[in-house]
Amino acid sequence: MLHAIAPVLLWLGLLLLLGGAAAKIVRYARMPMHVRWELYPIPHEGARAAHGGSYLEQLDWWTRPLPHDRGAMLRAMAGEILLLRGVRERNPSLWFWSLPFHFGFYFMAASSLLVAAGGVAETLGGFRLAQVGGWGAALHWTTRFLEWEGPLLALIGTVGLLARRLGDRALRSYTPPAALLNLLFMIGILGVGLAARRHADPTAALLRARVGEILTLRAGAPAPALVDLELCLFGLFVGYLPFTFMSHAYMKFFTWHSVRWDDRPRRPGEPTDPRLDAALRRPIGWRAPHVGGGGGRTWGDVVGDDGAPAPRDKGVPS
Amino acid sequence: MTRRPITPRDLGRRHPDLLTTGELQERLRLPPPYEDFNGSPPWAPLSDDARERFAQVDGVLALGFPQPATPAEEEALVERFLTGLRRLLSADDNWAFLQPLQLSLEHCARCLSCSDACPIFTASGGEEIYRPNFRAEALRAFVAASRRRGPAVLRRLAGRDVPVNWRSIGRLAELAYRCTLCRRCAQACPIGVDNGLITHEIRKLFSQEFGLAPAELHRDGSALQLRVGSTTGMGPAALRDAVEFIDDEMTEKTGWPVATPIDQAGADILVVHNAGEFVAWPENPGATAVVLNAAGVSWTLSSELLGYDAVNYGLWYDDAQFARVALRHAQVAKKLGVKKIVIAECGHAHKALTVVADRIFGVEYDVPRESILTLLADLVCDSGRLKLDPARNDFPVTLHDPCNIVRLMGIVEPQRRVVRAVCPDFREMAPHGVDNYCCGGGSGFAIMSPHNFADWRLSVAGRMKLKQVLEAFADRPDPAVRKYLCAPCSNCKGQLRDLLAFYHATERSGIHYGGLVELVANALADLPRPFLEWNAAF
Repeated sequence: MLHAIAPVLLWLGLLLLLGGAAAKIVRYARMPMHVRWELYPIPHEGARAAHGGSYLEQLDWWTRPLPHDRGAMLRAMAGEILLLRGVRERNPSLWFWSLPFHFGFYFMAASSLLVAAGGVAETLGGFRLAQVGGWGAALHWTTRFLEWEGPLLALIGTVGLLARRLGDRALRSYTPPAALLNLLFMIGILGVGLAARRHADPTAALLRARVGEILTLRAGAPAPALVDLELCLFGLFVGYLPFTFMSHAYMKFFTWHSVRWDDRPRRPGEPTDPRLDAALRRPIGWRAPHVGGGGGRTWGDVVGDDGAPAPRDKGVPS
Repeated sequence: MTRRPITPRDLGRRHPDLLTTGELQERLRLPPPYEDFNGSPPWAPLSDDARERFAQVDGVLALGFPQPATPAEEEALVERFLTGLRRLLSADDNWAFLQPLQLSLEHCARCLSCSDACPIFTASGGEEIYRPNFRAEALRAFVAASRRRGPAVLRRLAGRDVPVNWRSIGRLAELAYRCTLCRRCAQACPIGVDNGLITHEIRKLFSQEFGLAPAELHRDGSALQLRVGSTTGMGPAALRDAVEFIDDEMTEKTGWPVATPIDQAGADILVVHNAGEFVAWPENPGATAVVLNAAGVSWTLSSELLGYDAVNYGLWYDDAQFARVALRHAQVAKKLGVKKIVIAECGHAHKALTVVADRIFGVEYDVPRESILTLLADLVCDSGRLKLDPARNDFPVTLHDPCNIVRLMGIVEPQRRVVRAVCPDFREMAPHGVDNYCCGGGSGFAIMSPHNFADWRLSVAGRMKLKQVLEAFADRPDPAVRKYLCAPCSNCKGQLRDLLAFYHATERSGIHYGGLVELVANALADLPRPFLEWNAAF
C-alpha cells in the first residue's frame, strides 16, 4: 500500500511545492507598486549602516551617488539566514531552539536535493554512488551525513519550540490548534526519517534509489516500508508548506528587499514612473464622503480634488 | 476581568465590558522622586454616557466607535466593515500598501518577538490588548471571516475565528489608536512582518470607508488644512502676522535685525515648518531665521495655502488625505522655483514628504526634499559660516530621536553632529538612534486629548520615554541644574511638554525641552545675550 502511495504523494507534494511557491511569488511580484515604507538600519547603506543611517544624511543627497554595498547586504542576509541574528538579538530564548530547527531544515533541504540528484543519476546511469569513488563517494557520504544530522537537529529544535509554546502562557494563547498540529506533524516526519535511517537504511542509499526510480517514473524494487512512509510524509509536508506562514523561507525576499530595505528614491529629472500613471488610473471605491470613491472616479481624480468636508466624520466629542 | 488570557475572540464578547483591568498595577516603575506615579490610578473614568455610547476596550476613548441604534444598523455596519476589508485587500483601492500589507498578514510565525520591543506594551506591564500582535491577529481573523471560505471549524483550528459584530469591529477601531506606529515592533520581527503597518491599515479602513477618524486628525486636521491652509486654522494673512511678530521678538531678543523672507522668488530653499511652531513654539521658527540669516543662506517661507504648514496627518490614517496634502506641498515649491524644500523640525512631515510621497510625485512635481537637520549639520560643522561658542550651552543636554526621522528615514548622525559641536555636556539616552523609544505622542497622539485619552498617552504611551529621559540625567538629579531635552520634532515636543508637566519633571528634576535649532542659536558667539530663556517651554 505504502509502496503504491509514496510515488503519488511525492510527486503531488513536489508539484504543489513548486506550483504553490511559484504562484505565490508571481502573485506578489505582480502586485502594484507600493509607496516607500523602509525601516532602518539598511545594510546596503555601507558605512552609514553601522549607526542605522541613510543617504538622506547627506546635504543635497540627490546630487551624490546612491550607496549600494552589495557585500554588506549579502553579509547581513547570511547573518539572518544562517545564524538568525535578529532572533538572537531580540529573542534569545527563541533563538536557542530556532537555530537547530532551521539548521536541521537547511540540512534536510540540501540532502533532499542530493538524494534527488544522486537517485536520478544512479537510476539513469545504472551504478551506485558509493561504489564509483571520487565525487560519487563524496556525494554518498555527504548525503549520509545530512540525512542523519538534518532530522536530528530539526527534531531537537521542533521539540524545543513545541515545549516553549506549551510552557509559556503568552505563546500558548497565540498557538492555535493548527500550529500545534503542524509542530506535531513535523515531529512525526522527523521521527520517521530518523527511524528509517536507524532501522532500515542507515546510509540513505535505499532512499536515494527509491527516489531515483520515482523521479524517473520507473517501476522499482520493493523498498523498506519506513522509507516509503518517509517519502509519503515528506510529500505531504512540502505540499502544504507554500500555503502556510512557513513560506516565509522564500517570501522574506519580499518582506526585506521589497519593503524593509527598499529605499530607492525617485531622482529629480527622472521621467514619471509609468507604474504611477497606472496606479492613478485605478478606480477607487472607498465610500467615506471625504474620499468620494465610486461612480467611475479614479485615484487621480481624488487626489486632484480638495477633499470635501466629511459630514459623516464622527470624531469623538470632547 | 477574566483571568484567562484575552484573545481576539474576546473582542466580540459583551462581557467583560473592558478587556483590561483598567488599573494597570504592573506598569513600568519610575525611579525616585517619581514613585508616587507608580501606584496612582492611570486615568480618570469615562462618563457613563461615553461608556454607553461607544465601544470599550480599556476604559479610554481616542476614537469613539458609536453603538448602532438598531439591529438593522448593526447589520449594515458589519456589511460595510467587510466591504472595507475587501477594499483594503484590493489592488485598485489599496495599491499603495497592498504588497506590504499582504506580506504582514500572511507570514507571521506568532513568535511574539515583537512584544518586548513595544514601549506601550512594556510600560503597561504587559496588558494583552496592547501587545503589537494582538490587533494584527484580530485583523487576520477578520480577514478570514470576510472571505468566508471553508467551514468555520477550519478557521477555529487556525485561530482565525472572531465574532463579527459592532462590538468587535468597534473595539478593533479603538485599538488602532493604542499604537503610535513607531514600528519598533517591525524592526524586531525576524520575518519582516510589520504590525505598525497593520495598525495603519486598520485606521485607513475606518477613515476611508466609514469616514471615522479622530477629529483632531481629520476634521480639525487634514480637512482643515486643505480648506484654509493649515491644521492650526491659520490662513496666509495670519501667517504673515505671526512671522512679523516673531521677527520683532527675535530682533528684540538678539539685538540683530531679523527678517524672515516670505515668498521670495529666486530663493534657493523653501523652508516649511510645522505651522504649530508659529503658535506654540515661535522661538523655533525664530531661531531658524536667526541661524539661516547669520549663515547667509538663500531661503524663504511660503504664504501659499499649505505652503507654510508641513504637517500631513493623512500619513497616520488616510491615503487620500495624505496624497492631497503631499501634492499641494510639491506644487507650492514648484511654483516658487526653489532648488529644494527643507523640512523643518517636524518628524512625520519629514517622512511624509521625503519618503512616503516619493513615488507619487511625477516629473511635474520634481523638487528635492531635505531635512533641516542635514542643513544644520552642514552649517554648524562643515561650512564655517557660523561663529559658535559651545560654552554658551554649558548645561546637560540629551537628544530625543523622533521615530519618523531616525528609524524610518535613517537620519541619525546630522543632529548628533550638531549637538556634539555646540553642547559640551551631551549625553545619549539608552537606547537611542534607530533603536530609540517613541515619545508616546506619535501618529497623532500628541495632539489628541478627547475624554481621558491624554491620561493614557502620558501614563502609558509616554512612560518609557520619561524613564529614559530621567535615566539620561540621573547623574544630575538636582532640579536647580537646568537640563535640556532636545526634540527636533513638533509632535514630540508637544508630547514631551505634556509629559514634563504631568510628571512635574521640570520642578522635580529641572528638565526643560526644546528643539535643535534653538541650541545652535544659543551658541552663536556674537549674540549679545543668551537665546534660551529657560521657561518651562522655551
